[in-house]
Amino acid sequence: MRESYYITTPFVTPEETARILGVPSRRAKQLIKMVEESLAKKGVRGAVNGKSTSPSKNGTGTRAMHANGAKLKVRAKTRGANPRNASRRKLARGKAKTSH
Amino acid sequence: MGKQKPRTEVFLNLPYDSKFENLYLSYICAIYAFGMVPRVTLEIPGGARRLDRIFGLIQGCGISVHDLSRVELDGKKPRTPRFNMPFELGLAVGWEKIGGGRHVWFVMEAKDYRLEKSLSDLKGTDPYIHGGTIEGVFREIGNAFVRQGMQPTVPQMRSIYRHVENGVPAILRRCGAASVFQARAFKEISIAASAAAGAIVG
Repeated sequence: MRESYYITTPFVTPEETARILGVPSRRAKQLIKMVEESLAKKGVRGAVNGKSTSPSKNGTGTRAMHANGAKLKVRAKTRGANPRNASRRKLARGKAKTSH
Repeated sequence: MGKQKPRTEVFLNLPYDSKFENLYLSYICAIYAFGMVPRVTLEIPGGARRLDRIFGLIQGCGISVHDLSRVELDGKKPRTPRFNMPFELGLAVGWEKIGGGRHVWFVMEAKDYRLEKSLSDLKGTDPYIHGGTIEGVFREIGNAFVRQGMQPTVPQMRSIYRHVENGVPAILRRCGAASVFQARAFKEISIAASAAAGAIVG
């Protein structure tokens, strides 16, 4: 297998892409807006111009997880983790029993 | 004002047919996920001496990616093999040899061991096998390239692809294009992919 090619040049922005490919800046802005709206629908906010507001660059952040279509796991509290909720838990158990 | 730093441009040598549309989009998205700019022969205007322009495009790119997965006879009569992709690979290899190694090329294939038969001159070169799938293209582009600081993941590339794919019908409508294999459509798809990549990876 060939060795991987190491990229050190800066990440291209959509404006630079438009300049390189000769797309008028007005049309480029429309396209960027279209993508921004699509991203916003999926919960990916933040700047498009090469600056993400995502807390993580490797897809581990919440926003990136949304972008990747990953479901967020809500970790259930383990029993006894918070003693202040002990009475509430007991109540819930009791209710569950009466419903049967 | 300081001089702008150069961006990495990648010559994409791909078949332009409807069956390849998804993989074509996936290559564009994957290249933008790595912060590079794909260049294709679709950009070359008619009327110009095509061969010179193609070679000029290859020379202007530090990297080229050649997909030889559709080497079979095409459907249109008279049925012929598709020579353009191997020919452009030959140009890139030639440029690497005479250009003092300033050019790096990668070969992609759908099937293992087929290249050894179809292009035995490249024996000793390991192609990247994408299996004819979008995921495969993302995986193999991820194997071919490493970005300093941040390595885009396959799910991130898939996410870029989804956003671009959603915008394709609107882009084609506006361009009056019937397919994605037209110069203007390519350029507009590129801006969309670049914007999505900037937000998701960059």
